[in-house]
Amino acid sequence: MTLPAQAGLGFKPQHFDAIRETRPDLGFFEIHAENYMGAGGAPHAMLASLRADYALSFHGVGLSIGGAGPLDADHLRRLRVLCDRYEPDSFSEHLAWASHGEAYLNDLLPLPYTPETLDLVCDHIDQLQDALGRRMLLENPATYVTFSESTIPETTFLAEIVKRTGCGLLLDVNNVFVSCSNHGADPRAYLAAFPVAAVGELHLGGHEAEELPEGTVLIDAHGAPVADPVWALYAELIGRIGPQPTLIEWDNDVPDFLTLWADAQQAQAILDRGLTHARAS
Amino acid sequence: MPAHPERLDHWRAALAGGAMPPGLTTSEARFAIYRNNVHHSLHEALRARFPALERLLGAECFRALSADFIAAHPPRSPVLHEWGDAMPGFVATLAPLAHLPYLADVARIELARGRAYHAADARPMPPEALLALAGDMARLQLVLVPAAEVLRLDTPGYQVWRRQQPEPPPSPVTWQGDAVFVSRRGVDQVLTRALDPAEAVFIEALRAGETCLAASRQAARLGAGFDPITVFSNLIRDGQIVAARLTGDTP
Repeated sequence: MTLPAQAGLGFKPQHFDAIRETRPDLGFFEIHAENYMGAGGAPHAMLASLRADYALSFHGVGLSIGGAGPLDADHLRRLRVLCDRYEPDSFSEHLAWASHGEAYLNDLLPLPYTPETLDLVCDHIDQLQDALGRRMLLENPATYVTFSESTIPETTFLAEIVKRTGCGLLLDVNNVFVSCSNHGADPRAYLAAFPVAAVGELHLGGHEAEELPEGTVLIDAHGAPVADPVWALYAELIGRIGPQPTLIEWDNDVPDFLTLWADAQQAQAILDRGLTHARAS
Repeated sequence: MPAHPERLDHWRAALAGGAMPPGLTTSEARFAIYRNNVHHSLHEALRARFPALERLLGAECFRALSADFIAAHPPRSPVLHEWGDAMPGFVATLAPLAHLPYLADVARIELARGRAYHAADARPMPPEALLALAGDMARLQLVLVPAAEVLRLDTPGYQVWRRQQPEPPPSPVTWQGDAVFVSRRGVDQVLTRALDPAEAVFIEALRAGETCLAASRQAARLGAGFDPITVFSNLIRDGQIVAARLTGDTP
């Protein structure tokens, strides 16, 4: 139960007709699980149609794995029902929190990396994997702040989670670039330390720059093409670890399908070169 | 070092507009990115759910309303298309909007349309199977699609909502309590139609399990002109009837 090591796209309902007409040669489509938690109607009709033709990745944004309380049992059940209904080829969630004290905040919020939060996150992942009866992929976050309490580097934190829970990782290359840029770190050093053996999917997305009094901050906005330095990091990574399922994420100010498909083809060209490298070596 | 629950208490208060949480090595401006993201994403979710309400109020007024609503009724689940049920009651309590009493009803219609969009699928009954039973109206009970709802409004909320849609009718709004049928045809066509009072009674009675004859009699009390055959035909045309049975038969 894995995604093919090809380029995929985030599915947007406004692209459904274009996808049906052109039947693009894509490795998979990814959806945000929370958008498909109604009982029926157009969302499920479109998803069932995609399921017949493509591999599917379900990407959760609301479970709050980095939260302080127990996981939301109702939400776990919804995820289980959705996964049972469609049998996706991958399920992924975020190293972040989004709910606290009964309020859902609808953002991927950061946490410090400490022995205490490591235990919490591992417990939550164990619970999720048990509830879904499947291995999940955990995504590295894009962050704008740092915590004085953090005692564990993010890559070590992720490696320890993999070791303890057996989960895989979703490596978002744009998030690496955004976080490293925001915190004065070297993205190549981050990627060198990343536990790549656990990677089951890569994400590429666009970011935007915002000017603050202290200087430029990069925002993981998913509303622009993938930036050149992120493409460069991606190509180096594929050269090193070989082809991986790769998603182009574009969630805001979504362009027409052909524009997205062009980005997916750019990723596919890099994957094809990676395959050539892997065969030659 | 605060424990994680206490840390998130600080964060939640700070995201709602309080002081920056302790323990960060980065600036207030960096933290404000999260505050903006939370607010912006929830505001966009409300815009998607209440587009006519936003058009009626204007973007600026709706922005202020959504900020107050987010503070008073934050979502409790990540399924945001189920969030917002408190909006009609919330709008109705706002003194500056008291001169626009139909706004709450417009919000009710938009909530019902959202429910219909996501409601469970159900295959309409083939018309010939239905017509085979239609001779026995005294015993005929109908089951409508799960999406079907009748809204009884205190205001002309439907007429106001309709005038925010493409090709609005030119006639002026008549001050009355509108009745509205909200449902879905097939997988994706959300229906929103005005009902006259007799039609509303008829459909409500059907949904309550009354036979077609009993429902017609209830409706006819409101006006001699009630024609159950037209309503019945419209329900068939719109694929609204998923099952029929004759009372007394085992289902």
